[in-house]
Amino acid sequence: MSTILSELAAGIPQTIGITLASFVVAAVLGLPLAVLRRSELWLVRLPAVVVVEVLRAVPPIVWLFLIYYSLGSTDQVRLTTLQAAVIGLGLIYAAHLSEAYRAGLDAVPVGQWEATRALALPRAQTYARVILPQALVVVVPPMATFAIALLKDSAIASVIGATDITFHAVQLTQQDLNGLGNFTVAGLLYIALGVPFALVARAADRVLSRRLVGV
Amino acid sequence: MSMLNEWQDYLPDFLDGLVVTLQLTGVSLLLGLPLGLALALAMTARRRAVRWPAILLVEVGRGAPALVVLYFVYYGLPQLSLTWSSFACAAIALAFTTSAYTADIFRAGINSIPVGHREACQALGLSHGKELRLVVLPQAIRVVVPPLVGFCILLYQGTSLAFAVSVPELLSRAYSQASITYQFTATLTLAGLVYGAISLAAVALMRARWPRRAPTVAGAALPPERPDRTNPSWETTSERRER
Amino acid sequence: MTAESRPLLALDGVCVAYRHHEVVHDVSLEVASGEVVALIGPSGAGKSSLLRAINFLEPPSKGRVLLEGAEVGGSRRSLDALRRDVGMVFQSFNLFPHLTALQNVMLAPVHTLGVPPAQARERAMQQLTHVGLADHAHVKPGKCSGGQQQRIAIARALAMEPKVMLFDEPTSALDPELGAEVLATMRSLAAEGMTMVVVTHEMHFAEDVADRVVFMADGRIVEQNAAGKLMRDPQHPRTQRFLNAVRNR
Ligand SMILES: Nc1ncnc2c1ncn2[C@@H]1O[C@H](COP(=O)(O)OP(=O)(O)O)[C@@H](O)[C@H]1O
Ligand SMILES: [Mg+2]
Repeated sequence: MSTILSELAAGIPQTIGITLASFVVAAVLGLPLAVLRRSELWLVRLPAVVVVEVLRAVPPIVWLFLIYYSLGSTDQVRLTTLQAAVIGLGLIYAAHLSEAYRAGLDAVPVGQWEATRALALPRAQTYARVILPQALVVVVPPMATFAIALLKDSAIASVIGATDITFHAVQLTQQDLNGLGNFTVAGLLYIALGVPFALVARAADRVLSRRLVGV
Repeated sequence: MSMLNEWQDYLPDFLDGLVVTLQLTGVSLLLGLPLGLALALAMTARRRAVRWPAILLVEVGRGAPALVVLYFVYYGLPQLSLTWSSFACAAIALAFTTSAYTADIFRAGINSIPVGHREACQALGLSHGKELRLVVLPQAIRVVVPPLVGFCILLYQGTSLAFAVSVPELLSRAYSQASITYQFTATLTLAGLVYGAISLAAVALMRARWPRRAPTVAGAALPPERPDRTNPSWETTSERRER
Repeated sequence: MTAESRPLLALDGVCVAYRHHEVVHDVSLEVASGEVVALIGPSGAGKSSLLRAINFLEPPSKGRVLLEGAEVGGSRRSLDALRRDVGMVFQSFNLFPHLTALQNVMLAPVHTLGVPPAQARERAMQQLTHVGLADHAHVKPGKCSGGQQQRIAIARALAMEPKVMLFDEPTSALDPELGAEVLATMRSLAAEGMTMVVVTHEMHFAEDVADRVVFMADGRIVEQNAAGKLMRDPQHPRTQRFLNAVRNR
C-alpha cells in the first residue's frame, strides 16, 4: 500500500498542476462568457451561447485529442501534453463556470440593479461594488463542486500522456499487474485530494457571507 | 471541401463506432439504474449496517475519476482470473459510476417527498415497503426524471473513456483512422461533431420538455445536488422509527 | 374495573422528547368511548407532540399509551394494530398528490387491512359520500379546494374504520369559509358517536362540540373541564389569560 502510494505520488504534482491551472483559466474566461450571455442584444448573446453549448456537448477527451493531436501538432504550434490539457479543460470548465456565474448574477435581486441605476453608478462600479460581492456568495459552492469535478476530469490528461497519478498507476500496473491495488490507491488519492477543495470552499463561503452581513 | 470528401470515407466506420457507443450507454444504464435505486434505498435504510456500505460505495463511485474506475475493472478482473472483453469491463465500470451518480439523484427524489406524506402512511398503518412502492416512488419519479435524462447525456459522452481500454467505440474508430491516414483534424472533428450533434439534440429535447427544471448539460455535469442533510424527510422519519 | 367504565384511550405519564429535549411532561389523560375531547393551548404548548405520541408518530420517551386497556408499543404488531384503530387528520392534509381522491381513500384498506379492492372501492365511495365529496372521487387532490382536501383526508382516515380519530388543527390552514365545511363534517362525525381528540383554535367548535376541553401550556395539562364550564369559568390564571387573548383577537 505505502509502496504503491510512493510510486503514484510522483504523479501528484501534475494532477494538482493541471487542475489548478485549468481552474484559473476557467475562472477567468468564464466571467466574460457569463456577462455576454446576459446581454440584451442577441448578437452579443448568441456567440457566447454557441461557445458554451459546443464546449459542453463534446466529451472532454475528444477536446483534448483535438487540441493535442490537431491544433497543437502543426509546424507553427507544438503543445506539450500539459499545455494541451490545461487549454482543453480550462475552456470546458470556463463554459461550466459561466453557467454558475450566470446563476450568481441572476441571484442578485432586480432591486439591486435598479438601485445602482437610480444612483447612476457606473457599470464597472455596479459590478465591482454591488453585484459581484453578492453574486460571489452564491457562486462559491458550485465553483468548489466544479473544482472537484475538474480534479477528476484531469485524469483524462493521462490518455494523451500527461504524467499524472493515473498515468503512473497505469505504468505501475503494466509492470506489477496489480491493477486492483494500484487503482484503489489511485482512486483514494483523488478522493483525498478533493477534500481540501471542499474545505477551502466551505471556509470561503463562511468568510464571504460574514463579510456581506458586516457591510 | 476536401474534409467533406474524407468524411464520406470515414462515415460508415464511424457509424459502426456510434452503435458501440450507444450500446455501451444502454448497457451501462440497464445495469446502473437498478443498482442506483437499490443504493439509494440502502442509503436511506434504518439499519446502519445497510446504510454505511451504500454511502461508502456512492462516495467512492462519485469521488474517484471514472477513468480510474475503468482501469480498476480492466486491469483488476484478470487478477481474479476473469478474462472479460474490454466492452464488458467498460460496461461494468460505467454501470458502477452510473449507479453512484443516480443513487444520489434517486435519494434526492425520495427526500423531496414531504415528511407529512410518510407520516400519513404510518398513521394509516402502511408497511415500509408499501409506503415506498405506493406513495414515495410514484411521486419521486417525477422529480427524478429530468436529472436522470441529464445524466444520460453525460454518460453518453463518458463512454468515450472506453477508448482507453480499446473498446471499438466512436472515439477509438476516429483515432485508429487518424493513425492510418494522419488526418487527425478531419477524423477528430468528425467524431466531435457526432458526439456534439447528439448531445445538443438531446439537450434541446430536454429543454423543450422541461423548460424550467431542465438542467443544462452543465447542470448535469455538476454532481447532482447534495440532498439537504439538515432536513431529509426520510432520515427524520426513519430516525423516529428507530426510537 | 368493568368494561363499561374502562376508557377507550388512556395516556399514563406520557413524555415526549426531541433529542433529549423534553417538550411534553408527564401527561395523563383518559378518553371514554364516544367522547370528544378538544385540546387547546398556546402555540408551542406541545399539543401536536402529544397527539402524535398517541399513535406513535412520535413515540413517547416515557409513559404508556393504552387502547382499550391494552398497552401499545414495543412490538411492530401492536403498533400496526394501534395505527389501524387510530385515525389521524393532519393540519396540512398530507394527501398523496399522485392518487385520486378515491385512490387516496382506498389505499390503506387495501394495503393495510387487505380488503379486496372491489369492496374497498365501495366503502371508499361511501366514505366520500359521507363527507359530501362523492362527485370528486376521480379528481386528484391538487384540483380540489383546501376544504375539500381536508374532507378527503377525513374520509381516508375513516376508511380504516378507526375507534378514535385524532385531528391536529384540521382547519388552521384554511380560510374561515372552507374551514366551516370541515368543521361541519367533524360535527356530524361527533354526532354519530365517533371518539375524537381534536387540537383546535376554533373556540366555538370546542365549546359546542367537545364534551371536554383540555388546556395545555408548556408541555403540561394546566386545566380540564366540561367544555362549557372551562370556557365560561376557567380556574387557572394561565387559562384565563389564554382565553382572553383568543377572544380579543
Ligand atoms: N420535530 C421536532 N423537533 C424538535 N422540536 C420540536 C419538534 N416538533 C416540535 N418541537 C418543539 O416542541 C415544542 C412543542 O411543539 P408542538 O407540539 O408542535 O406544540 P403545539 O402543537 O402546541 O404548537 C415546541 O417548542 C417545538 O419547538
Ligand atoms: Mg401544533
